[in-house]
Amino acid sequence: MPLISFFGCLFTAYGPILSLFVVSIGGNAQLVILALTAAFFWLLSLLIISILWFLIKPLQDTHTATLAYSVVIQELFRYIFYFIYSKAERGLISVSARPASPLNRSSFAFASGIGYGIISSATSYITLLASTTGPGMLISPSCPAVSMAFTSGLVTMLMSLLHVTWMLVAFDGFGTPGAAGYIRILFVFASHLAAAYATIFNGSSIYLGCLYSVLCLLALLVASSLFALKDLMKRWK
Amino acid sequence: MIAANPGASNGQLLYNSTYITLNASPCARLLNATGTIGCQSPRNGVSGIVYGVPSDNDLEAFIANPPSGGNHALLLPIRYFVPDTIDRLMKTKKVSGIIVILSNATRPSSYSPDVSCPNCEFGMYAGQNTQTQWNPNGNGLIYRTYDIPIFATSPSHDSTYSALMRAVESNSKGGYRTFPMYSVEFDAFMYSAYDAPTCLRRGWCAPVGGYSIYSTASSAISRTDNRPIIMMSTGMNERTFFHDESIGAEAAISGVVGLLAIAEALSRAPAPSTGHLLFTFFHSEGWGYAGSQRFWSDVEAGGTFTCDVPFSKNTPGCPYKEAACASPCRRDLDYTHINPDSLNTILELGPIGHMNLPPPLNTSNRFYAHTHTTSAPNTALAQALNSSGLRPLINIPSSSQGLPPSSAQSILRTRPNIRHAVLTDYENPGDRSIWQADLDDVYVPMSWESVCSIANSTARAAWSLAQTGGGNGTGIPSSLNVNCTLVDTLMDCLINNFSCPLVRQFTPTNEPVGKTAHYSIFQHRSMDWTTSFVYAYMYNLTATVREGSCESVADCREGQECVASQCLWGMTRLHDAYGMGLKMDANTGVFTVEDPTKATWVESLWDPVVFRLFLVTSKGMQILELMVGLILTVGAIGLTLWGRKAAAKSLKVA
Repeated sequence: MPLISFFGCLFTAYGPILSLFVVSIGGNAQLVILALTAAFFWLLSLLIISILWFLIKPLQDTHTATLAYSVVIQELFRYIFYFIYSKAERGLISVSARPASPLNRSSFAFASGIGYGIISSATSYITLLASTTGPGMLISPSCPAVSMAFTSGLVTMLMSLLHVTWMLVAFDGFGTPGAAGYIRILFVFASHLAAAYATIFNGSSIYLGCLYSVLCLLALLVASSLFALKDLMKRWK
Repeated sequence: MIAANPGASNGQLLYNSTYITLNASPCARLLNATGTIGCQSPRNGVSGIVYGVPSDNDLEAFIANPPSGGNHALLLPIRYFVPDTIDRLMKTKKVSGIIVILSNATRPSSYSPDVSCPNCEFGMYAGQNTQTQWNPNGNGLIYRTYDIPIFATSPSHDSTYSALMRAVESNSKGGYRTFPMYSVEFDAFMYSAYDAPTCLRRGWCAPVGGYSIYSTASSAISRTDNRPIIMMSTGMNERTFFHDESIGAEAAISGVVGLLAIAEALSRAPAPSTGHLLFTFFHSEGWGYAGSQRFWSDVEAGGTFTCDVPFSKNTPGCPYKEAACASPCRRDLDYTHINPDSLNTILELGPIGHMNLPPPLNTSNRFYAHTHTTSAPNTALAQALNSSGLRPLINIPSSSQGLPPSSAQSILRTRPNIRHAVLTDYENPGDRSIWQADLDDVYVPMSWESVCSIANSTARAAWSLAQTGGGNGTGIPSSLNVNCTLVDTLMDCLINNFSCPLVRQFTPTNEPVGKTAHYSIFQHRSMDWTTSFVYAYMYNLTATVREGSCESVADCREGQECVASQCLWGMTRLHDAYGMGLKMDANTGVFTVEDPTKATWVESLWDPVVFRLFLVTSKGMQILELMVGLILTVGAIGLTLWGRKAAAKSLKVA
């Protein structure tokens, strides 16, 4: 792929999440550390997923099954991360810039979400991006005018942003007792699962499949952003 | 979905779904004392959109109005691969590479990339004003310099050819406008520069050459035995445009098969009473008679050979386990046993396959005994050939035009009076429709009957000439007949199927075997497939000592060879073949140009060629991708800045 395409894909996939990271939390050491910690937990989940994938030989090529248990494990680690975070929450708030702000927890969730988003998009897309430095292009089987690297770049970008909103909603869910909490946790799990399966369209040979992928993910992003925003507004008032 | 491929890494899988690796027969860069010929591709390769020009209209349309945007890799049927068309294509500046299709369906009736007087500057008529132009069809493409890569493909490269055809079909369906389009990348970077002396000094070239073979059943042959030598010779390979494409079916293999069959027939007959029968297979003859001139000049100097440094151990200049002399490096000195003054007769087999007259053999299939002059001994030789054969098939060409390009010239240059005949299936200049062409392949219709009949005449004549009072056809043993079944088998093996049982018996290998009669480079101890087969086969035919069985040469006594699982000793030897203008330093093994007026062909070194097919998107699409990426990134930065500002103002968060 020529250099133009390489940079196009690079900016598409990583531009938004990296600018979020740099502009919004880059100046705050505490949040950066939190983001890195979240990224580490996501990596742990990837380790477990890989071990499972390696052990369950019959399901190695059944992507639908792999997607299902990998979503479950990622969500599980989101909870484990939250659990450990909650033990340290008091301390984190006390050393934050504005300990009295009602939005500290949201900003922690936001930073953690960025960590989750960066690391997941980096690991899932960088091989494809690296392979595009040659002259040839893998053409998307579902959108035959577009390269696979570009459609996957769009999907990667949307997934990374989804992780940010999911972390916001999930923190609210974990921290809210009763049905309201469970609804949020369930929403995050369901939309993560839906997003994972929506990406299958991209690599399929269904006509305009890449467009379906992108549209589904976009819809999920809007829905989860609204959900997260709603909770944020509630807390602010 | 990507096909399951356990064991392949993600990157490999991705590579395999993006690229189709093609088989390449590149045109390489060759250099002589004064300059370069052949092709070059930019370092790190060059790519172009695959573009087919199946008809005259397509070709003219491309030249008149080349498609805008991007460079093109032209799939050119060989009939368009001529100087005028190449010049016009280059002028469009839209051609980044050419893939020549050597398809049987599109082959022209006559074609030759060689010059009209091949090898003439190195032959016995060199320097004469009026040399016979033996190849008037020659377009001289071999001698040009190209700054673009030129590769060849043919339907026999199944997957490569069909992949390229599919690419053309797909690209042309969209009128070469609808992206994504198929593109190929060529990478055949040649390390050489300027000319042979420079390149050899820098170590980026190797001499074009190989090993010639000489063989005789008279293992006790000596300079002083005063017995006449009847020499039967042929060339082992042809000169071609592309590196690994040609078989040289007519130009080389027909003669090699003929000579092997003659040797086989003579090995079954009683040894003639007076003469020595010497078989010679010369390598790299197309390159200034590299094989025959070096052999003959060494034989002539054999009487006065002095070894400056005796061989003691393996050195870079003489990398053998055992050798007769370290400086000059000589594997053996057995060639000095051949007395040049005893050379009585030269019988050379040129192209004898009668490719223009496919079987069955009939009276119109004539052979021609070319001679330097129609002197009495030469005429008598032609008569001897006729009287010994089963049918009077051999004619002396009607007009006196001298010898065609042939190894015999290397000997007659110094001794024009030796009795000789160069046997060919063509009579006059221009009769041979393909000369040193890459088209000289499996599709050339050749007749094993033709090869067998001339081999038979030659074998019987040679035996008769080596017999006391012979030459008149009397006394030839009735059992002395060439085995036509063997001729058929050998032709099939050396042209169609080098992995056939007969070849496997003599050159045991599990490696896949490529095309064999293209040119090669001279490298100590390295033989191409044809050479190693001919060497082993001749060794077996002329061996005089046969001992126990063996698996490798290590199981045999010193000096013996392990051929077809048996320890043998005989007088079959390899002889270095590279241009006479080149000299090897015996200490370092480095070649230098010694005499720029003689043959000095060297080939550039190159890495394994990369030739791959892939899809590309349009420039517009690529720019769109970049715009989307930039807008998303800049948008995200703007939104976040705005969000941070808004939050800081109203929310008072961290």
